[in-house]
Amino acid sequence: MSDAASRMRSAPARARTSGAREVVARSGLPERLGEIVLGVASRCRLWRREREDVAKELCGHFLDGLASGAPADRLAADFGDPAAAAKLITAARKRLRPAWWQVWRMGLRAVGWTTAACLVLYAIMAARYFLASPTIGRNYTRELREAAFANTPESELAWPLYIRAVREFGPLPEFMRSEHPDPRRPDDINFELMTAFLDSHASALATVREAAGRPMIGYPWSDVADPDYSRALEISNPAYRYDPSAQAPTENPLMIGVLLPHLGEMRKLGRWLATDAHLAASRKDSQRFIADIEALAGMADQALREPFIISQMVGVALGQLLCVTVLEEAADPGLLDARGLRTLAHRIAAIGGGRISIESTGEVLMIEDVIQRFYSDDGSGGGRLVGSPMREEMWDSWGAARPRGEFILEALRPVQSAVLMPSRSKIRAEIDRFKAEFARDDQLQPWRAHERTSDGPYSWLMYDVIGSIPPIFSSLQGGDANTGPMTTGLAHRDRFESTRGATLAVLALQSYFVAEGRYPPALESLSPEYLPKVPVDPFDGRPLRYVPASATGGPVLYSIGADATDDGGVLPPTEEGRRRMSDLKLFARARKSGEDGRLAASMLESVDGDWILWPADGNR
Amino acid sequence: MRIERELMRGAGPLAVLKLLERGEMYGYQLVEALARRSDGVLAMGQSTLYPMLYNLESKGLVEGFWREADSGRERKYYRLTDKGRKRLAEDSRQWRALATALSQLGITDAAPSPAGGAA
Repeated sequence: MSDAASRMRSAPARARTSGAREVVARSGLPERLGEIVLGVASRCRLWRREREDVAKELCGHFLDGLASGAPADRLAADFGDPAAAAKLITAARKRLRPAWWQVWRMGLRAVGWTTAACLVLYAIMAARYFLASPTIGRNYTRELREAAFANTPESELAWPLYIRAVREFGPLPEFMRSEHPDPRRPDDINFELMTAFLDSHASALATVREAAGRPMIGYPWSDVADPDYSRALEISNPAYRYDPSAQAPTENPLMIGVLLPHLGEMRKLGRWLATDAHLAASRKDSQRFIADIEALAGMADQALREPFIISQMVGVALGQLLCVTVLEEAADPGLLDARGLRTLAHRIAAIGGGRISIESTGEVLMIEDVIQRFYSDDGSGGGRLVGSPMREEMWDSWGAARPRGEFILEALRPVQSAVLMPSRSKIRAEIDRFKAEFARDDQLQPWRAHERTSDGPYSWLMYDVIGSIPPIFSSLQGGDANTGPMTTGLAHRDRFESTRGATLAVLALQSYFVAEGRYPPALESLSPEYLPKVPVDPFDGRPLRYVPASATGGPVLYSIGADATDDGGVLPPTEEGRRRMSDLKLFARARKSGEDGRLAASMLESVDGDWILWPADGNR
Repeated sequence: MRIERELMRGAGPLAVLKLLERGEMYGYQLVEALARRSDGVLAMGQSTLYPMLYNLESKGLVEGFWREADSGRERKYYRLTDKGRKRLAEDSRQWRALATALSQLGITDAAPSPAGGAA
């Protein structure tokens, strides 16, 4: 190495070779040989002590050569390439290092290789994730709208009339913002205020009844609230201000984000109708009573015709409210004559086409809609979770709080897609399984509810798959098959059907009473003239229990209740028991937990008694 | 004549072990002895010898140690270990078998006798 080159060496390099320099200086070697030694030592990526050892040994080598009479030039020529020597020496000397260092180096290499392998894998996954995009080929909301009511003339749609009713009711009275906003029966707090409110809004109630007489609701499913409805809300709640510029409706909205505010409005109007029915009953106004019950039945039918399970559950709830209202008032001898009883029986029997069948179309399309927006489509049913522009839009449109470290979470999405998320075809298969199992569950009799299985595929689809696609779907996390969203819905339907059966039986009993002046000795005596068939007990499939004359004088109609034991028509002793005695889900759980189809008795201690359907004390 | 690198990779270490069989030697001594006793065939540059020595040391076949030479300065010597002695015996057997095979193919002039002498 020349002097100039030597001078150009950096300060750190000098520091690194300072020990070797001292060794060379002490050896007294000719400059040319000394530079070879330094050239090797400085290139060796070794510890300082090791470099000094190498320098010392090479110096010794050259000194031995000189001592044997060899000229410095020959020794320099024979040495070979210092750079190659440094490389070989470095590798060889490192093998001489202690075992702990060898282990550490192997660990470091393993980490390095693993990291490199992970980076390569990640790059592949990221390319697959970011370079692909979903194909949004269908507008499910529009398809549903068209299938449901696009061809229905506006004169047959109820929603414009419901909006008109909201306007006509005007600002809600103060008591509706109190602790007792919803009095339904004469002995409820604020019932007097409620009756005054209803009496002064007879035309609004008439509008509700007219709306309920139309076949379809016709709510324009969208991701923003209906402007007409929002303006009507300004009237009912003067503190509310509608801002039409806040958000424009999306042409193809994410179906799971479609707003359904009409359901809440219908439940509220349904409660008012039920209260009005009680008010009419208290005044022996049978025409108004029947009109209110028929309107409730119409609203229930409207909700049941919507494709979403939540809408159908509102239909079930309105039907339940209707039946309970009738059960509570039907024994009033001055309210309904034979014709009125028959009219109500026919209308109630017709709700939902005679037997409510819950339809899962809306739920299935919601899942498919999410998948088409976040999954690629290979054209043959396959595909995977991919980067979707929808995700960024949703942060803004859903107003969801972005989590801390969102960037990191987003960076991990390719891994989630490749490792955790199921393929599109697997999801498709599970959707088909859900549809088949739900259709079967829907047909299962309530006393076989423990055999229902559709919560499994539904929970997997909704919580494990959809719930794993942030941002909005994280709110779905925490749900699982144990919460039983499908079996819960079907249990509500079963409870309604049982209550409807009891209501029809009670209307038949009253008709018999009007005709004969006494109650029949058995329910079977009602068939076929007053009742086509005797309703069955949902807890064992046998006829509902009937006691012609009870201790209180009147007849009693009851189900054996969730404990599946006939206690002779006795209410459970506790409030919780009375509340849960018709709990078909509890019954199904107890059956599932028990061995050989027996009920797990410990789960049913609180419901020791019967579900008294009539008189209607147990239904409220 | 210089030997191909691949051949040297197998023969070089064996030659060094063989030289050390007789007693400890230092680097320059080994270079000289290799060149002289193999008529230059196994001569190797120091840039090859020292990495080879370190490799043999790391495998436990030779042992390096510093000792004061007659000149008064410290010099690093190498000696064969028991493990190195066993390896030398084993490798020698293999090379003899190879030489015999090559001789039978007419590549070499004569195979060495089992005792190591000329046949």
